[in-house]
Amino acid sequence: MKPLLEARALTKHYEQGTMTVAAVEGVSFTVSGGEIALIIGPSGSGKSTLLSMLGCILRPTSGAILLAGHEVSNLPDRDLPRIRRRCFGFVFQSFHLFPFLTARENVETALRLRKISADARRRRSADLLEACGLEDRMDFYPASLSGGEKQRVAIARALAGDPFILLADEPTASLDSANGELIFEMLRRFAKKDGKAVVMASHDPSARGYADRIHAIVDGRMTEIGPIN
Amino acid sequence: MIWLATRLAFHNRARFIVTLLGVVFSAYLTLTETALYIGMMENATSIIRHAGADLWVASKGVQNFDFAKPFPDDRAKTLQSRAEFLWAKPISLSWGFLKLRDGAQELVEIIGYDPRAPVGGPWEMASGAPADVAGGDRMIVDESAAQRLGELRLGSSWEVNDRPIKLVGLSRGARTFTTAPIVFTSYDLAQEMTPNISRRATAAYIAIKLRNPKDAERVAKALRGELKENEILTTAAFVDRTVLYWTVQTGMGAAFCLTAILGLIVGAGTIGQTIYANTMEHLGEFATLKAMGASARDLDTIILAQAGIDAGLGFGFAAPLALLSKAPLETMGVTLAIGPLLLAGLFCVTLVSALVAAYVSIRRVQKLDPATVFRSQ
Repeated sequence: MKPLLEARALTKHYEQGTMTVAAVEGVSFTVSGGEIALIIGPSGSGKSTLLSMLGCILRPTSGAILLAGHEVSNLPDRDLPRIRRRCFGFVFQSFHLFPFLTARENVETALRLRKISADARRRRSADLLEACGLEDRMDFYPASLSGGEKQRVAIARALAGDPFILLADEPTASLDSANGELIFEMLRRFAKKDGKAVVMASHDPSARGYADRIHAIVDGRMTEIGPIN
Repeated sequence: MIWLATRLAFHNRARFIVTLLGVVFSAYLTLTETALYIGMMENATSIIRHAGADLWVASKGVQNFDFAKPFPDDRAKTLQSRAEFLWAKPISLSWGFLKLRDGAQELVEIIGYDPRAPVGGPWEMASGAPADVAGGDRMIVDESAAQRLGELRLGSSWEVNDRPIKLVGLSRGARTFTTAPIVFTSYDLAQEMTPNISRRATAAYIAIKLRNPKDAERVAKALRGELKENEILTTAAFVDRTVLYWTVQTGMGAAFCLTAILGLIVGAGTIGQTIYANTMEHLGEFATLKAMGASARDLDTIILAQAGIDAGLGFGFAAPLALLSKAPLETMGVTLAIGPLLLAGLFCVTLVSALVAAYVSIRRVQKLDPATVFRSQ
């Protein structure tokens, strides 16, 4: 199967005074539709930097990122928000929900960025929140939701724009194990049922049970451990 | 994105109310100061603008309408015979004292005009007619003077410069920069009431109405060659000179301008500070929006719309407040000239200063690294 997302010899160097620090060094990696790739590694190993580059948020120092076979890492800065809007959904460890919006409005924000009509926004946000088991929490503000519920809203928001790649950074780090399992189960469901590619960075040992492939990253260099059978 | 801006602006209600109060105060200050200035300038030029004259013959070096140096009025008779003039009438201007009911005296500006000619006299009447001052000791006083002079009853008798004089009419809208009440009377009576005998048979101005007003500049140029001891001004030039005198030479314009600008700075500063605080408080959300694919334009819109909401609502409350305070202030002799043009103009100025004040926040968000959303907090 042709990969949806491909990283070729991806490198990110930072200048710190007179020193050059390599956050990510020569990482090559692919993920296809319906597949969950898990990236593991200690703190500071380069997982977040890699996810930022894969999500076209951070420009690599060298190497290439291809989306469905098209290189996007050489696109000008002004084109990248459009790529992120159309191709990616993001799930963050700290949820990053908008505290002044209800669960439904949070989900709708992603749709507003894509200029979706009001009717379609309402339907889509309701469907997604229902699919995430939050039909009775739609009009709640994040402050009134539990950690697990917040992350489910964040997943619904990430999926709202119908992206074909989901990037999840430590999606269960702020949750208890039961909620963590629920989130992993949801991510797997969306990958398998909707054919989305999921790239997930996680410390959570239970994440391994949901991944199709596992990549370890240490000091910015990646090694593939999986596939998992 | 305006929707998001609205939610963001109203999210912290206490902050929003404090901001709104600041903007209302500053917009009110700017609006009333500007309206006050325009009102004073309108008063200072009201007779010039409403006399219906195209040209004014004045003494050399005249700087404003109220302080005129008299010159012999026989020049008016000479000018009256010119074919290109519809009329040329002398107007006298002097200062006198009007005795009040309680025996106190009030300084008044006495305008003497020809009751048979539609020039120099009151242009709008609350009661009576401009021609009523003809044939005796009669006067017209502006109705706005009631605050200073007491009840202005038609037919009542008053004393101006110790001369008994009957009130035969009430004008409307005739005010001076000095706020001294205007007493309109016939040119002849005004001459008689002038205490200094050597100043009799003198005019302060000759107001000229041309058959063809488009010739004003050309005729003024020709008259300047003939009347070398006088200054010949078109109505527009006389208005400009009077405004310039009160604005620049007295320093009054600078004072009003400074207060109005201070109002704008306070408003812009309040908006800028609040939006910046709001932006800093929600940097995480802005980073999330950036990561989600919000364009620079989307993010700018959110910040600018907040500034627009603050400025719009602030001005929206300030304008009715200023309009409401117009009537009470005018009973105290203060003219607030608040028209649609001023409201529209100051709204634009308030809006632009608010948008400029939002610039710092825009720069902060533009520089924001969306990759921060991948770092745990």
